[in-house]
Amino acid sequence: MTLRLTRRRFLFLGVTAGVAAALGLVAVWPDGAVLDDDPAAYHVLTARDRAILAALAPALLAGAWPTAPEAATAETRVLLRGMDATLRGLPPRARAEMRQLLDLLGRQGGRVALAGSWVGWATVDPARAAVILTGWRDHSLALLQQAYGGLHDLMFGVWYGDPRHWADCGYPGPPTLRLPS
Amino acid sequence: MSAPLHNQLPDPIGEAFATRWAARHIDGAMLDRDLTLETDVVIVGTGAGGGTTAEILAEAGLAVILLEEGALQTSRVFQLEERQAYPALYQESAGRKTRDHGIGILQGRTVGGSTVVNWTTSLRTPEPTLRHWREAHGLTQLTPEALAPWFAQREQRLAIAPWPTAPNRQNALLREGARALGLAPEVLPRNVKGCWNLGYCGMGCPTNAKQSMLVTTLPAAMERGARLLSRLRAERLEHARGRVTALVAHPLDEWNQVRRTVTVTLRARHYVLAGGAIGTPALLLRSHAPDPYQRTGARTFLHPSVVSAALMPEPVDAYAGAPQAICVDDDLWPTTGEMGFKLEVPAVHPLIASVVIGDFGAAHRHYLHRMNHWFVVVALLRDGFHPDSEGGRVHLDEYGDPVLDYPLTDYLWAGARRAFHRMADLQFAVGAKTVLPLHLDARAASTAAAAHARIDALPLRARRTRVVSAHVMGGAALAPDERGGVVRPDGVHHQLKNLSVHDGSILPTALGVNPQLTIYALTAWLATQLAARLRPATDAAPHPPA
Repeated sequence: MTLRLTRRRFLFLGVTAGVAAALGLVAVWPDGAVLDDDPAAYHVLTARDRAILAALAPALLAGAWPTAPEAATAETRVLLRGMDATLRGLPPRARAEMRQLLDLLGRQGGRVALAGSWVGWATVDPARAAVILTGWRDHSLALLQQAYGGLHDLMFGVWYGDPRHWADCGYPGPPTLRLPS
Repeated sequence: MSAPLHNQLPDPIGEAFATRWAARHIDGAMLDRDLTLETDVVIVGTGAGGGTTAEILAEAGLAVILLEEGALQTSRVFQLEERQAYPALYQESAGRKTRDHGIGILQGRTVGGSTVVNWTTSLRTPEPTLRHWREAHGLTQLTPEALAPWFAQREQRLAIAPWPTAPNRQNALLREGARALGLAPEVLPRNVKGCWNLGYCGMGCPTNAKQSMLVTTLPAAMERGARLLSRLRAERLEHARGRVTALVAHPLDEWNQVRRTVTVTLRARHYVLAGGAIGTPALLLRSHAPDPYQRTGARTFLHPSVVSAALMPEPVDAYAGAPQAICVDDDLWPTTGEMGFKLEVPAVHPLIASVVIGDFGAAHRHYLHRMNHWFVVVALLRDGFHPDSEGGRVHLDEYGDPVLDYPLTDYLWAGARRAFHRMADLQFAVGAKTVLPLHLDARAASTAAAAHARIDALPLRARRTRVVSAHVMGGAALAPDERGGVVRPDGVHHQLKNLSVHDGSILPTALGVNPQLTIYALTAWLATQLAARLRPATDAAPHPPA
């Protein structure tokens, strides 16, 4: 039983990663290696955390997310830096909750159990990421619903707090206020 | 972050803190050594209750030290951007949640507290609420007649008056929709002086028109010699034999993390807690304050609020103009015992809009992309008036921070469902193309009939339904008997003689209206009583401004 499961798991991993690569899905979002080159200092998010969040971002932000790979890489960096800054200012419990989630997802066992993904985060494509997010959103476990909500608020908050994305909302931005000279 | 300066207006309060009050303000983030200070009265918190109390005690000639967990932020840093305002001015970067993440809580954390970021709605405590407090909670002295002069005094002090200007489009839609349904919309009083009608109240008023504590009572107290310690968290009260002997505090760093390597000790004749609901009970719990009947943190109320988002054919631009000018109270006091609710509208800006839409991907963007067409109505559920609405309880987590357990009951969900129906009717009455109750299982409906059928079928549960709160009340209730609450009707702690609570945590239930004016009036009354008791017997001269 154990042996069969292991073999099936192995085969599944190979097939999924291979299919994703064949379909070119890995090309439109940045992989972990690119993210590791980000020279910015991160205070909360590790390289492994960043690979997870980078895999989920294109699905969460589908429709608003850029399709060109270079733009996607640039947006990923802005997003990750923003999320890192937000997390840095949160109280210890909120940071610990996010830490536990990311640590769990960063381990192979946790990734398989919580995300149903046999491939590493750097090769999770947006379609698969959308399935993962839907699974958490609609899961019966409070923990996964909270994980969905936490990532949702964090990621959207950084994205739509950014003036570059206001025009997409029909928001002209704040007025400039000064006294008449 | 070098963002462009949207706000280039003068900042008289910031100027005063930089010059004539500079010697009497300590920023905890800059503090690198232990400190012990003595004074007549220590006030923990600078929001509605703390600010009001500080002015009254300082004017009575008492020496006052104000302690504030948030930073000193004045209008020069109010740059009308959510990404700066939320981390700087709100608890937990505006992302505070109940323990099970069922309710998101917007609560201020800055010098001036929530009064710096609220939307200025200033309503007196409803008479049915006061009657309930007298009849069910024994607060016999809280009659409309007894409170009227305190409301009038605070309304005058804070320039509270019905908003005379035409409401913005979203408030106008609320009014039109209510009238179409035969309801009676009301104009809201606001605490503003020379308001520019911009719509950025929630990010700190850039023009200083909003009469928050930051521009009214706190400057008055500073002029009278008060001292302010910002970015300093009250860790615990030390107490012995029924008296508080010291308050121990630690500074926060620039990322709002507590630095326990530095300790500030404050000694006073009297201590006033005004850290707000959630914050004040948490301090009492950290202090192991006597609590023989486990009332500390109990019955914390939120006005849990559900949201209905309509898409209108024409732009609504709900980011612009005074965010709250109209309310609808027809459903606030049902005679059947059901949970009542008040209808208001919120400011709609991109960050907060993106967070309240719970879905993701294409479904999420569909709404964000049309944000300027949203007509959003919020129903604030009046909690705490029914045996099935006991509110929540504040606990401490393993870090000593507060965490609020707030179970969402069937009784509350029944009220929420009625509110969704009412809001959908109101939105279709003014020509909404679609109406979406904010709920993960909801789909937008394009007719009222379809909306009602779907609302009836919605499984209302925590984390599926978007529930938000901007009003935190209770947890250290006024009660004539120590079995019923934490403080006596004069605001003094039942077990600790030289400790008072002057903030929203003293409310025995929610209010049914936005809480600021209730807190101003009650704490002005309590502070005036306290000043009379503490005033030196000799007619000492007031402390001169330094």
